[in-house]
Amino acid sequence: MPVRPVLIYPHPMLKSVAAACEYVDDEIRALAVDLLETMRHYPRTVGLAAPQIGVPLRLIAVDVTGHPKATVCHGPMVIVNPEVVTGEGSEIGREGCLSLPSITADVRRAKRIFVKGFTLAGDEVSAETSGFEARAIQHEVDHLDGILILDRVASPAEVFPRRQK
Amino acid sequence: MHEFAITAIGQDRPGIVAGFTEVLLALGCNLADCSMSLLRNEFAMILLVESPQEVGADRLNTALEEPARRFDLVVTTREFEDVPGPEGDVPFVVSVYGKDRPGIVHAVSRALADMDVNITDLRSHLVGGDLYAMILDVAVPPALAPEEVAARLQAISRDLGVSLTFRSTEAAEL
Repeated sequence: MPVRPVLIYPHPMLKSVAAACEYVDDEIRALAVDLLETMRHYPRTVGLAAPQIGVPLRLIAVDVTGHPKATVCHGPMVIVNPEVVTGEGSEIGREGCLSLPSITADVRRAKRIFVKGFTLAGDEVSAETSGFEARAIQHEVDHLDGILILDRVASPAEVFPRRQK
Repeated sequence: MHEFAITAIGQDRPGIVAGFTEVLLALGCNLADCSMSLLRNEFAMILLVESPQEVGADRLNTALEEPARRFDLVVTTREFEDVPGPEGDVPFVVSVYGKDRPGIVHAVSRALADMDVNITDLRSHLVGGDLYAMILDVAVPPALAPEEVAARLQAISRDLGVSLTFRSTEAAEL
């Protein structure tokens, strides 16, 4: 089953902490395929986390290829058990979330990050990135900890209603 | 069910929101969208309220007289019907700032209106004596080139002698 339904808040899984993947096996690799295909199914979607498709595991997909705001791009990425170390700088940017479809919000994120985790082959991987790609990774890792953009806004003026598509 | 748009404004003090919404709750109303702001010491509220079928304009207005008197608020109510807005509009944010002078809001909003660009949010402040700063959220119709809007606004800001930036706020999905 490639494209899976995306959970919408208030589904409780979106507010739960996801469990680490103990092994990278065929099941995880199949999940990664579904995660990427579901992400690509939705327009303008540059990232998705496993809990958003109903799997409470620490796995994210990010792909900012061709996005006008991307300054650094590692292409399509799937990271198992991702960990983010935030680096210097912070900036505010507007984010939308498939799991909160009726709003967008201005969120402050670290400008530069260092991310590490495992590939789908089970190898350790690490990367340094910045700007829009770093924002996307931080948003997805937040999903693994049950944190949504509404948990990150600093003031009510930073939340914007939008029409459902 | 009826839907009402209610506005209330008055000198700020603690308890206005609690006192006002207590009356709405007692009527069985549900609050939908609200915007409330303090400008200097004037507190203003806009509330979109869903009321039960038996609570019409008369009952609502009568019930709101008490908190209006208690907090010295000017209150208006208007029944409205939800109509869908235009689709496909692209969101942009405009910042305008510079030395204060009469006519900045008018010149910018006139230009936007002439291009059929809708203002969806506007906040401005007069700070530090004569620095005027205004931030607008606008919705550009899909048929209109953003470059054209940007060029028109830049021309106006030059005439006014103020700084202006026009940038996209379209959010990526994550």
